Amino acid sequence: MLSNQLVVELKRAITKKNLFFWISIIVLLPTVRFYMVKEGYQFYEPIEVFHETVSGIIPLLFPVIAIIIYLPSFLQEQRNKFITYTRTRVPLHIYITSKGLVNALLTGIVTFLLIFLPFLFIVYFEQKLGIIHYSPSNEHMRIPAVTFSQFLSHGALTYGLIYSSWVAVNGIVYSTIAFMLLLNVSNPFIALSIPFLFYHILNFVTGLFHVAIFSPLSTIFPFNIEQQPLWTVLVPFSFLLIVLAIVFVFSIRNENEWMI
Amino acid sequence: MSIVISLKNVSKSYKGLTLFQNVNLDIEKGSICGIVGPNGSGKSVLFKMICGFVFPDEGSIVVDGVEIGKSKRFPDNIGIIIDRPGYIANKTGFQNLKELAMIRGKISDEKIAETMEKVGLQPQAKQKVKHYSLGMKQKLAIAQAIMEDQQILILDEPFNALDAESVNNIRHLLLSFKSEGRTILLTSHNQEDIDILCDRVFRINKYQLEPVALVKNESSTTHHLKPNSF
Repeated sequence: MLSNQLVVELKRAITKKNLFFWISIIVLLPTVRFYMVKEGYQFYEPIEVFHETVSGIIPLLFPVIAIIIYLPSFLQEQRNKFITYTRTRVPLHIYITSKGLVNALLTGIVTFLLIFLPFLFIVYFEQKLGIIHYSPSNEHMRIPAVTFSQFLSHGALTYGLIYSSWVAVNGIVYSTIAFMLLLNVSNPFIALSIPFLFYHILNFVTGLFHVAIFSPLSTIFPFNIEQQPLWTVLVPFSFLLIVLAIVFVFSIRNENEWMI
Repeated sequence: MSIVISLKNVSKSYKGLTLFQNVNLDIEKGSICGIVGPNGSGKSVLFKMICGFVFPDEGSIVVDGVEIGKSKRFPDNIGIIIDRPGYIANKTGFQNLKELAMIRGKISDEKIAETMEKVGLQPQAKQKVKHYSLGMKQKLAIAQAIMEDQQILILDEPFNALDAESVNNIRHLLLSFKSEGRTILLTSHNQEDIDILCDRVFRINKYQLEPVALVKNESSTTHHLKPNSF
């Protein structure tokens, strides 16, 4: 029954309008940033261009991006009691589980492509087009390494795949927390704002206590600090998972009071 | 006639308020049963229990031979209107029904369009539901409740916000469903709806369902039920 409902939900979600919206996110945000950084920066390697391209707008808006991929359509259903009328057709827990899984899947795909497509373009195609002027490097010059560039020793593609997956996993966790908050918090605006506030308040607090290496910003988009051991990224992520687990357990126990 | 909905010693409190105590009710197949009572008396909760949305504190509810809450969370083949119409505001009426129909995958687009026409909506209309009048939203709710040929209809105030012509049309529709053998349980604040449609009526009073004697004669029914204009 769940697999059938997953197929139904995917069919419902993959509309021309949504595809256009998702492609716009994937293409527009990196493109705008790419054109902002193509002049006025001195680059030696394509990977630096990639780091700059996925800095700025995307990290600033990251929780919002994760939330707007699928949850507005769920909010539409929730707000106008549509879900009540699905309940004679499919058990509620199956319906909500399928919604949660489709939210995670689509958020994961879009946030993955949001990072991976610019990576492919910049590292493999841009040099043929010659849009960026690369300064010649010399043996004395050291390109600063960032967290995750440890994987570059396994090849650029490996790095691109692992880093994009990391961003996607974080996107999934943020949007899943927002999804479950929507079920439990009566004001949807507050429910959708909490992940965004959580992300930025944690950035602020870690900065205040001089542990910015553990901030969500510097662990999901680690281009503003020098390379850190990989375990550091797991610190805020573990905290995020604990929050997710708490919200999940609360949601299960609070099923009778869900905002549906 | 066989019993389609059966409540045995059902008690229910909701948010600290006692609504039902040891209620018994049997509804026969192919009948229309009305439930009346003041606001807040528990009509919606009663309907939600029959649909399996909430469970009784005590007693049992059997729908179509299956006890709700034991092996089944909700009855098969049931159409509902509860509380108010539900919809996705930025989609058309047809798209709304299509998205509900996709869940079971039992009916075609033609069947959806046919049902919309039956209740007085235009299936081809590009108008989004957020621009519908209250009456149109109510018709959409009726359409989703009947489009899959549901054999049991639980309709909470199905005539809300409908104009006189649409009320007449929906009354005809419900009576035709009854003659097909479908079972209907409904509430209405309009005594005329109850008089025209219902075979039996129960009033919620002091946590019980009390039978109400129907004043029904052929002439008054035919007087109020005009020929169907749809």
